[in-house]
Amino acid sequence: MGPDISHHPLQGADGSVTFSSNLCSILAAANGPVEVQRRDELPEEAAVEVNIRPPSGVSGPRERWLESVVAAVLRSVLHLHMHPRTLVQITLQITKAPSSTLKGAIRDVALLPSLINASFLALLDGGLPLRSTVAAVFLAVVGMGEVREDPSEKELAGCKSVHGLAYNNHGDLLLSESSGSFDLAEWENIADQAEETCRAAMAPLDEDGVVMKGTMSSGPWLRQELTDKAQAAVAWREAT
Amino acid sequence: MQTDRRRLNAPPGGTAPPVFAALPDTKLQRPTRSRKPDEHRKLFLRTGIVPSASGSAYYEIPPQQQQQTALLVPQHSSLKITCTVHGPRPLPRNAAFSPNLLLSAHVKFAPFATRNRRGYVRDASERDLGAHLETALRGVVIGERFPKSGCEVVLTVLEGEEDGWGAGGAEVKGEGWGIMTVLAGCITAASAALVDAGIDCVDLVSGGVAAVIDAGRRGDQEDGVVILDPAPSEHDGEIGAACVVAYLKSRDEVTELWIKGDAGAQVQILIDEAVKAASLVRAVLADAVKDAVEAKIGEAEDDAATTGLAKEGKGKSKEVVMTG
Amino acid sequence: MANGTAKPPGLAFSRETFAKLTPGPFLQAHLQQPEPIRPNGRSLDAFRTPTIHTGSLSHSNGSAVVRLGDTAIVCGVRAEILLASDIPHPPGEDTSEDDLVERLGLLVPNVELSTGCSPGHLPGNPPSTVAQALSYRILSLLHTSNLINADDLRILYTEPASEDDLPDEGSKVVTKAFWALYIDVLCIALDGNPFDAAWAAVISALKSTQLPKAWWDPDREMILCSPLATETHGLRLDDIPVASTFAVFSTGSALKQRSEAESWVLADPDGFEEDVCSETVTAVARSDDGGVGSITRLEKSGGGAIGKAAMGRCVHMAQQRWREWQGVLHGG
Repeated sequence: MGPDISHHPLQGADGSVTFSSNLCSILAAANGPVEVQRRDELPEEAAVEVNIRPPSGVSGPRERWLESVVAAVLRSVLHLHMHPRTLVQITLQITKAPSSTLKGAIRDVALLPSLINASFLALLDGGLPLRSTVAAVFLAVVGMGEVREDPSEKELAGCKSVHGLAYNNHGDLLLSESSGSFDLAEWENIADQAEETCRAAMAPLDEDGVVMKGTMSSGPWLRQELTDKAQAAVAWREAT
Repeated sequence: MQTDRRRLNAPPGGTAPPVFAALPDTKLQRPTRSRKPDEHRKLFLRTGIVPSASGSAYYEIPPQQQQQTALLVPQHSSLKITCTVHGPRPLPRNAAFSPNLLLSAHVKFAPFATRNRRGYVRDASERDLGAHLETALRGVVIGERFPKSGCEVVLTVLEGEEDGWGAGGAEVKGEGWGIMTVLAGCITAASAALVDAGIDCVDLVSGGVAAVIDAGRRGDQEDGVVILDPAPSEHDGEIGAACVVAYLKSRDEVTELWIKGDAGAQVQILIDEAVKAASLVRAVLADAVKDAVEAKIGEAEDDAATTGLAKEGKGKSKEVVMTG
Repeated sequence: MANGTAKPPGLAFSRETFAKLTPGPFLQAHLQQPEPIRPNGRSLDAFRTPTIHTGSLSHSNGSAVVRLGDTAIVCGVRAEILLASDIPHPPGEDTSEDDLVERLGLLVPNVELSTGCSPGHLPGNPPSTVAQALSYRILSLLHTSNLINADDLRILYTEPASEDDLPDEGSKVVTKAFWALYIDVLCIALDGNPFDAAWAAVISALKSTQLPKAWWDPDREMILCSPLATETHGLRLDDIPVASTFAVFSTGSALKQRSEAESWVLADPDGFEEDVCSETVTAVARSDDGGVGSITRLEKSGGGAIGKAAMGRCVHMAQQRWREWQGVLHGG
């Protein structure tokens, strides 16, 4: 089925998208390149600013940490050298968060892949120059050692560890956040599975748009998005 | 406590410090001063503890005797201060032209420094200390050698003197005597850090504190006795007045004078005793600074001797040639 | 050296100047040697030796000073009382013990970097993003590792028997209050890797924490504590996890060919290396045998230079580091 994505919900931002997975919904807006404050200006690259707003209450140290992680990932995805001395600003409003009955660390790790996917799609929508495609996935190891991808809240209760990983289209691991109780062998297994899922999400579609590897339930949702966007962008050419 | 959205806050519902029960069968001995009236407590001073700062110093007055281990609450006071100096550094672009060095002193008590937990935001007493310290240091730094520059002197009090002796943990009536000893320590620590940073000064400034013990309350016949380096926990409720001076010994000058309380006829004696205390402290300060300078000279000589040879563990010779 | 062809004279800089002008190439020049070595003289896998002193602060329930090379961090633990009747939303009966500490917010760590510990962290500013992220990471790790038992923080009261009670029902034991621990971490000197040092300071301070004996006084309707040092109790901390941070220096960039990029993993980065590297890995290990449940937290972000294999090596190094820390934590 894949995540639920809607395009350009905000007219005022350069790029915007809403992204919903099993556990959370994010409204992402990207602006850039825009003018930067003197003190944040970088001489040879664009500065990246990420703002995360929780669904309720004011943002605090938790949001600052999430912002620093998302910004670190996006710096490897954006073509920062193309717009030096400017600012790329991404605002992420969490509209639905995992329920507070879950442990804090589980909620944080569950949010990160959705935050990254939403930011990437918003940057895409805004036409910012990107070095590579990135897809992120959330996995959990439940009771008997089984690995569940994008689990529901019920499946998360009593899970042993949670993992959020992001890969780009060259197969580079851009993000790995794991929390809980696990060992290296488990993590390597999860990294392999995550790589497969991300690859499948970015997999090229054949003529019929059929999924190349039918193993993952989400299919090449990202590739589909990119294709749809590209087609929409050149639609004017067909029309004239 | 106010919620600060930039820090992790107390649990919802608020907390209160623990209240200790009075013990009927335990005799609590208030510590008394065993030193002579003109004897200073042992000081410990070391510079160069923060290599990334221009200069730094650590000042400590350890507790006089071993803490009575029977009681949780410490019975003997101690003082621990760290000081870092960052400068001279260029002023921000929008600052007005300044022909002298712009010195700013910043004092902060750590949250665990006093019996009652302090917050992270600077309060009035800390700002007050900072102002007194700036006055003390401004008189000793040769500012005109550093135009258009600023210097930050940052002090963190890791453990501060209490204002009195809380019997077995009872409430301490805050009369503000502990802060006088803290100021004297801050002046000395800042002086050591300034020397470590290599900022030109006319002399070493040292801080000394003296107090008038209101003997009348003890039923003695004499006038109030003036002692130097009072430890407020040893004179609970007896201190009538106290004085802090920042003193330059070789020029016999005072750059900062702060008197609290009513000294009556003994104001002059009080100030003289404080100056005496400062002279005693200066001996320790001069030793510490001399050791640090000798160590630095030794290091510089070693560096000069190994120029051209690959230094052990560095992998590259001292001089690097870039061509092109 | 006299030569037939005239060579333009090179510029000779001292090492410090070279490091300041072009930190990236300076580090690269060190690492590209046949025997790679870092500017601070350490090999790629070498961590700095830690030293810990506990119990030096007299106004705290627990304290520790950790020195990791030139990084020095002080941590003080203060215990205060949270009355059960003051809790606005008491957690339900089904809340597990593990979740109780988190739900009630009984642990309040805060990392303060604006103490003049380095030229970039001067006081007078509110906590920077780095400081806030550090505080949150410590809190998250405290909760994930279930380090503190809720039972150690309860203040119980045995209610006296009343006429309403059934004859064979035992007296009811209720929790009248909880201890809330304020964990204040102050950075005295910063030379890279504040997280490892701050975490070590937190666990050492918690290990040395002594909580006074407390009881509910029904007449005065408040909690009273005993001031005797003999009647304190400590916290049970089993399976203490240890954090190890690594920085990755990579020569790759968007303007170069991907195949030309080289990368090196530097263990326990110092201030200079942290400024030059954007990618970091943090592994929190709980034991050194690589068995089940031996890793509590694994974080990596900031770049794509290293993959699964290098992460595996980092985890192995973190496990070895766990053993090194045990000696210091329990011996010191």
